Amino acid sequence: MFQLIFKKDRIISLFVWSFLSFSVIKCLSIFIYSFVNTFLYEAFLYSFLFFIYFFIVKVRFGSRLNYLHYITSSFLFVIGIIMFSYGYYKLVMLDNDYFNLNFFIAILISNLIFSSLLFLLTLIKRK
Amino acid sequence: MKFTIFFLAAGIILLSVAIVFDINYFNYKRPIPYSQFRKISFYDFKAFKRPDITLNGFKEFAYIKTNRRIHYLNNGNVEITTYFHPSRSYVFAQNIRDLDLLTHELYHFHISEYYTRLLRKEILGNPKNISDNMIIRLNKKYYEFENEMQLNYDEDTYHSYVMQEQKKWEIKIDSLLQSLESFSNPLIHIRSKE
Repeated sequence: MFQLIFKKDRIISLFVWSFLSFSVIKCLSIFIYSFVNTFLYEAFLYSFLFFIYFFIVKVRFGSRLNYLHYITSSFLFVIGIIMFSYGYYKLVMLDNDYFNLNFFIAILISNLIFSSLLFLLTLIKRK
Repeated sequence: MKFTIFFLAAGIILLSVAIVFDINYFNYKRPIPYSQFRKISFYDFKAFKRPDITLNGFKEFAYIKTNRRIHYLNNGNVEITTYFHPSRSYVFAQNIRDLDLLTHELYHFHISEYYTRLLRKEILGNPKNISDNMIIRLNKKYYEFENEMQLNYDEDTYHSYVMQEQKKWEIKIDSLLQSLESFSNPLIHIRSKE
Protein backbone atom coordinates (compact mmCIF):
# COMPACT_ATOMS: atom_id res chain seq x y z
CA MET A 1 0.00 0.00 0.00
CA PHE A 2 2.83 2.33 0.90
CA GLN A 3 5.17 1.13 -1.85
CA LEU A 4 4.26 4.10 -4.00
CA ILE A 5 5.10 6.62 -1.33
CA PHE A 6 8.39 5.03 -0.30
CA LYS A 7 9.82 5.03 -3.81
CA LYS A 8 13.28 6.57 -3.87
CA ASP A 9 12.43 9.53 -6.14
CA ARG A 10 9.30 10.38 -4.12
CA ILE A 11 11.15 10.24 -0.80
CA ILE A 12 13.91 12.46 -2.21
CA SER A 13 11.31 14.92 -3.55
CA LEU A 14 9.56 15.04 -0.18
CA PHE A 15 12.76 15.67 1.77
CA VAL A 16 13.97 18.28 -0.72
CA TRP A 17 10.59 19.99 -0.39
CA SER A 18 10.78 19.86 3.41
CA PHE A 19 14.30 21.35 3.21
CA LEU A 20 13.07 24.18 0.99
CA SER A 21 10.09 24.75 3.31
CA PHE A 22 12.43 24.85 6.32
CA SER A 23 14.65 27.41 4.52
CA VAL A 24 11.65 29.54 3.49
CA ILE A 25 10.33 29.65 7.07
CA LYS A 26 13.81 30.37 8.48
CA CYS A 27 14.12 33.26 6.05
CA LEU A 28 10.63 34.55 6.81
CA SER A 29 11.29 34.34 10.54
CA ILE A 30 13.73 37.25 10.08
CA PHE A 31 10.72 39.43 9.28
CA ILE A 32 8.04 37.90 11.55
CA TYR A 33 10.43 37.72 14.50
CA SER A 34 8.56 40.23 16.63
CA PHE A 35 5.02 38.87 16.10
CA VAL A 36 3.12 37.58 19.09
CA ASN A 37 2.92 33.76 19.02
CA THR A 38 5.27 33.54 16.04
CA PHE A 39 5.27 29.76 16.23
CA LEU A 40 1.56 29.66 15.34
CA TYR A 41 2.18 31.59 12.12
CA GLU A 42 5.12 29.34 11.34
CA ALA A 43 3.13 26.15 11.97
CA PHE A 44 0.35 27.47 9.74
CA LEU A 45 2.84 28.34 6.98
CA TYR A 46 4.45 24.89 7.22
CA SER A 47 1.01 23.31 6.71
CA PHE A 48 0.38 25.47 3.68
CA LEU A 49 3.79 24.63 2.23
CA PHE A 50 3.11 20.96 2.76
CA PHE A 51 -0.18 21.30 0.89
CA ILE A 52 1.78 22.58 -2.14
CA TYR A 53 3.56 19.21 -2.15
CA PHE A 54 0.23 17.67 -3.24
CA PHE A 55 0.50 19.61 -6.53
CA ILE A 56 4.22 18.86 -6.89
CA VAL A 57 3.40 15.14 -6.86
CA LYS A 58 0.62 15.75 -9.36
CA VAL A 59 2.88 17.66 -11.77
CA ARG A 60 6.05 15.63 -11.29
CA PHE A 61 4.71 12.10 -11.03
CA GLY A 62 1.37 12.56 -12.80
CA SER A 63 -0.59 11.01 -9.94
CA ARG A 64 -2.75 12.28 -7.10
CA LEU A 65 -2.06 11.40 -3.48
CA ASN A 66 -4.93 9.71 -1.70
CA TYR A 67 -5.64 10.79 1.88
CA LEU A 68 -3.64 7.98 3.49
CA HIS A 69 -0.58 8.76 1.36
CA TYR A 70 -1.10 12.46 2.00
CA ILE A 71 -1.13 12.06 5.79
CA THR A 72 1.83 9.66 5.73
CA SER A 73 3.75 12.18 3.62
CA SER A 74 2.76 14.85 6.12
CA PHE A 75 4.38 12.85 8.95
CA LEU A 76 7.53 12.36 6.89
CA PHE A 77 7.54 16.08 6.06
CA VAL A 78 7.46 16.97 9.77
CA ILE A 79 10.23 14.44 10.49
CA GLY A 80 12.29 16.19 7.79
CA ILE A 81 11.60 19.59 9.40
CA ILE A 82 12.67 18.25 12.83
CA MET A 83 15.89 16.83 11.33
CA PHE A 84 16.79 20.08 9.58
CA SER A 85 15.91 22.17 12.63
CA TYR A 86 18.05 19.98 14.89
CA GLY A 87 20.93 20.15 12.40
CA TYR A 88 20.58 23.94 12.31
CA TYR A 89 20.50 24.09 16.11
CA LYS A 90 23.63 21.94 16.39
CA LEU A 91 25.62 23.69 13.64
CA VAL A 92 24.57 27.34 13.92
CA MET A 93 23.03 27.99 17.32
CA LEU A 94 24.67 27.88 20.74
CA ASP A 95 24.07 25.42 23.55
CA ASN A 96 21.96 27.94 25.51
CA ASP A 97 19.60 28.62 22.59
CA TYR A 98 16.19 27.00 22.57
CA PHE A 99 15.28 23.84 20.71
CA ASN A 100 11.57 23.70 21.38
CA LEU A 101 10.02 20.28 20.73
CA ASN A 102 6.54 21.66 21.42
CA PHE A 103 6.87 23.70 18.25
CA PHE A 104 7.14 20.54 16.16
CA ILE A 105 4.09 19.09 17.87
CA ALA A 106 2.28 22.31 16.87
CA ILE A 107 3.40 21.81 13.24
CA LEU A 108 2.21 18.21 13.31
CA ILE A 109 -1.20 19.15 14.71
CA SER A 110 -1.50 22.05 12.29
CA ASN A 111 -0.55 19.73 9.42
CA LEU A 112 -3.16 17.18 10.46
CA ILE A 113 -5.95 19.73 10.76
CA PHE A 114 -5.23 22.53 8.31
CA SER A 115 -3.63 20.42 5.57
CA SER A 116 -6.50 17.93 5.84
CA LEU A 117 -8.99 20.74 5.33
CA LEU A 118 -7.09 21.90 2.27
CA PHE A 119 -7.03 18.31 0.99
CA LEU A 120 -10.79 18.17 1.47
CA LEU A 121 -11.13 21.30 -0.67
CA THR A 122 -9.33 19.57 -3.54
CA LEU A 123 -11.86 16.71 -3.31
CA ILE A 124 -14.81 19.11 -3.37
CA LYS A 125 -13.34 20.90 -6.37
CA ARG A 126 -12.89 17.59 -8.19
CA LYS A 127 -16.53 16.63 -7.57
CA MET B 1 16.37 15.73 -11.28
CA LYS B 2 16.04 19.36 -12.35
CA PHE B 3 13.31 19.80 -9.73
CA THR B 4 15.55 18.42 -6.99
CA ILE B 5 18.55 20.56 -7.92
CA PHE B 6 16.50 23.74 -8.31
CA PHE B 7 14.69 23.38 -4.98
CA LEU B 8 17.87 22.31 -3.22
CA ALA B 9 19.75 25.34 -4.55
CA ALA B 10 16.88 27.68 -3.62
CA GLY B 11 16.81 26.14 -0.13
CA ILE B 12 20.55 26.61 0.35
CA ILE B 13 20.37 30.27 -0.76
CA LEU B 14 17.45 31.06 1.56
CA LEU B 15 19.06 29.24 4.47
CA SER B 16 22.32 31.15 3.94
CA VAL B 17 20.38 34.42 4.26
CA ALA B 18 18.76 33.18 7.47
CA ILE B 19 22.09 32.05 8.94
CA VAL B 20 23.66 35.49 8.37
CA PHE B 21 21.00 36.99 10.67
CA ASP B 22 21.87 34.49 13.40
CA ILE B 23 25.65 34.80 13.02
CA ASN B 24 27.26 37.45 10.86
CA TYR B 25 29.94 35.58 8.92
CA PHE B 26 30.62 38.65 6.75
CA ASN B 27 31.93 40.53 9.76
CA TYR B 28 33.00 37.69 11.99
CA LYS B 29 34.83 38.25 15.23
CA ARG B 30 35.90 35.48 17.54
CA PRO B 31 34.08 35.11 20.90
CA ILE B 32 35.61 37.26 23.67
CA PRO B 33 36.29 35.57 27.03
CA TYR B 34 35.04 37.17 30.24
CA SER B 35 38.57 38.14 31.31
CA GLN B 36 38.57 40.74 28.50
CA PHE B 37 35.16 42.29 29.22
CA ARG B 38 36.68 45.75 29.84
CA LYS B 39 37.74 45.94 26.19
CA ILE B 40 34.19 45.48 24.85
CA SER B 41 32.55 48.44 23.14
CA PHE B 42 29.56 48.78 20.81
CA TYR B 43 31.97 48.36 17.89
CA ASP B 44 32.15 44.71 18.95
CA PHE B 45 28.41 44.22 18.40
CA LYS B 46 28.70 43.03 14.83
CA ALA B 47 25.56 41.01 14.10
CA PHE B 48 22.86 42.21 11.68
CA LYS B 49 19.81 43.67 13.34
CA ARG B 50 16.57 42.16 12.02
CA PRO B 51 14.71 44.64 9.80
CA ASP B 52 12.33 46.94 11.67
CA ILE B 53 12.82 45.12 14.94
CA THR B 54 11.81 47.21 17.96
CA LEU B 55 11.69 46.71 21.67
CA ASN B 56 8.11 47.54 22.63
CA GLY B 57 8.24 50.40 20.14
CA PHE B 58 11.76 51.58 21.00
CA LYS B 59 14.32 51.36 18.23
CA GLU B 60 17.28 52.23 20.47
CA PHE B 61 18.33 48.95 21.99
CA ALA B 62 21.05 46.35 21.91
CA TYR B 63 21.23 42.59 22.25
CA ILE B 64 24.13 40.68 23.74
CA LYS B 65 24.73 36.97 23.25
CA THR B 66 26.78 35.08 25.81
CA ASN B 67 27.34 31.45 26.67
CA ARG B 68 29.83 29.25 28.47
CA ARG B 69 32.15 26.67 27.02
CA ILE B 70 33.49 23.64 28.80
CA HIS B 71 36.87 22.33 27.67
CA TYR B 72 37.95 18.93 28.90
CA LEU B 73 41.74 19.05 29.04
CA ASN B 74 43.99 16.06 28.38
CA ASN B 75 45.32 16.04 31.94
CA GLY B 76 41.78 15.49 33.30
CA ASN B 77 41.19 19.10 34.33
CA VAL B 78 38.31 21.20 33.06
CA GLU B 79 38.27 24.77 31.82
CA ILE B 80 34.94 26.63 31.95
CA THR B 81 34.87 30.05 30.33
CA THR B 82 32.11 32.59 29.76
CA TYR B 83 32.14 34.10 26.27
CA PHE B 84 30.62 37.12 24.60
CA HIS B 85 29.76 36.48 20.92
CA PRO B 86 30.33 39.67 18.86
CA SER B 87 28.94 38.24 15.63
CA ARG B 88 25.70 37.22 17.35
CA SER B 89 25.21 40.50 19.28
CA TYR B 90 23.80 43.66 17.76
CA VAL B 91 23.10 47.27 18.55
CA PHE B 92 20.82 49.74 16.77
CA ALA B 93 23.83 51.90 15.77
CA GLN B 94 27.48 51.03 16.40
CA ASN B 95 28.69 54.62 16.67
CA ILE B 96 26.49 55.55 19.64
CA ARG B 97 28.11 56.82 22.82
CA ASP B 98 25.42 55.55 25.17
CA LEU B 99 27.48 54.25 28.08
CA ASP B 100 24.37 53.39 30.09
CA LEU B 101 23.15 51.00 27.42
CA LEU B 102 26.60 49.40 27.08
CA THR B 103 26.80 49.00 30.86
CA HIS B 104 23.37 47.35 30.86
CA GLU B 105 24.45 44.87 28.19
CA LEU B 106 27.73 44.14 29.95
CA TYR B 107 25.86 43.30 33.14
CA HIS B 108 24.13 40.54 31.18
CA PHE B 109 27.65 39.25 30.58
CA HIS B 110 28.41 39.55 34.31
CA ILE B 111 25.29 37.53 35.14
CA SER B 112 26.52 34.78 32.80
CA GLU B 113 29.89 34.83 34.54
CA TYR B 114 28.19 34.65 37.95
CA TYR B 115 26.49 31.39 36.96
CA THR B 116 29.73 30.09 35.47
CA ARG B 117 31.39 30.69 38.83
CA LEU B 118 28.52 28.90 40.59
CA LEU B 119 29.04 25.96 38.24
CA ARG B 120 32.79 25.93 38.98
CA LYS B 121 31.99 26.07 42.70
CA GLU B 122 29.64 23.09 42.51
CA ILE B 123 32.13 21.04 40.49
CA LEU B 124 34.93 21.87 42.93
CA GLY B 125 32.69 20.78 45.79
CA ASN B 126 32.96 17.19 44.59
CA PRO B 127 36.01 17.07 42.31
CA LYS B 128 36.84 13.34 42.61
CA ASN B 129 33.48 11.84 41.71
CA ILE B 130 32.22 14.23 39.08
CA SER B 131 31.69 12.79 35.59
CA ASP B 132 31.46 14.58 32.23
CA ASN B 133 27.72 13.84 32.09
CA MET B 134 27.22 15.37 35.52
CA ILE B 135 29.01 18.53 34.36
CA ILE B 136 26.71 18.73 31.30
CA ARG B 137 23.63 18.30 33.50
CA LEU B 138 24.84 20.95 35.96
CA ASN B 139 25.57 23.31 33.06
CA LYS B 140 21.99 22.92 31.79
CA LYS B 141 20.64 23.55 35.27
CA TYR B 142 22.67 26.77 35.62
CA TYR B 143 21.57 27.91 32.15
CA GLU B 144 17.97 27.69 33.36
CA PHE B 145 18.74 29.71 36.50
CA GLU B 146 20.70 32.19 34.42
CA ASN B 147 17.88 32.69 31.89
CA GLU B 148 15.49 33.43 34.71
CA MET B 149 17.83 36.02 36.22
CA GLN B 150 18.54 37.60 32.80
CA LEU B 151 14.80 37.98 32.22
CA ASN B 152 14.23 39.48 35.68
CA TYR B 153 17.11 41.89 35.12
CA ASP B 154 15.64 43.12 31.81
CA GLU B 155 12.15 43.29 33.27
CA ASP B 156 13.15 45.27 36.37
CA THR B 157 15.43 47.72 34.55
CA TYR B 158 13.25 47.78 31.42
CA HIS B 159 16.36 47.17 29.33
CA SER B 160 18.30 49.99 31.06
CA TYR B 161 15.57 52.64 30.82
CA VAL B 162 14.80 52.59 34.58
CA MET B 163 18.06 53.94 35.94
CA GLN B 164 17.27 53.45 39.63
CA GLU B 165 16.62 49.74 39.13
CA GLN B 166 19.66 49.50 36.88
CA LYS B 167 21.89 50.82 39.67
CA LYS B 168 20.31 48.41 42.18
CA TRP B 169 21.01 45.48 39.88
CA GLU B 170 24.59 46.63 39.27
CA ILE B 171 25.26 46.63 43.01
CA LYS B 172 23.59 43.23 43.39
CA ILE B 173 25.50 41.59 40.52
CA ASP B 174 28.82 43.14 41.59
CA SER B 175 28.37 41.78 45.10
CA LEU B 176 27.35 38.33 43.79
CA LEU B 177 30.45 38.22 41.60
CA GLN B 178 32.62 39.42 44.48
CA SER B 179 31.25 36.68 46.72
CA LEU B 180 32.50 34.08 44.22
CA GLU B 181 35.81 35.77 43.42
CA SER B 182 37.71 32.64 44.49
CA PHE B 183 36.05 30.77 41.57
CA SER B 184 37.00 33.32 38.91
CA ASN B 185 39.76 31.15 37.43
CA PRO B 186 38.39 29.25 34.39
CA LEU B 187 40.71 26.31 35.09
CA ILE B 188 39.36 23.73 37.51
CA HIS B 189 41.69 21.08 38.89
CA ILE B 190 39.71 17.85 39.02
CA ARG B 191 40.70 14.25 38.29
CA SER B 192 44.14 15.64 37.55
CA LYS B 193 46.56 13.11 36.07
CA GLU B 194 49.55 15.33 36.84
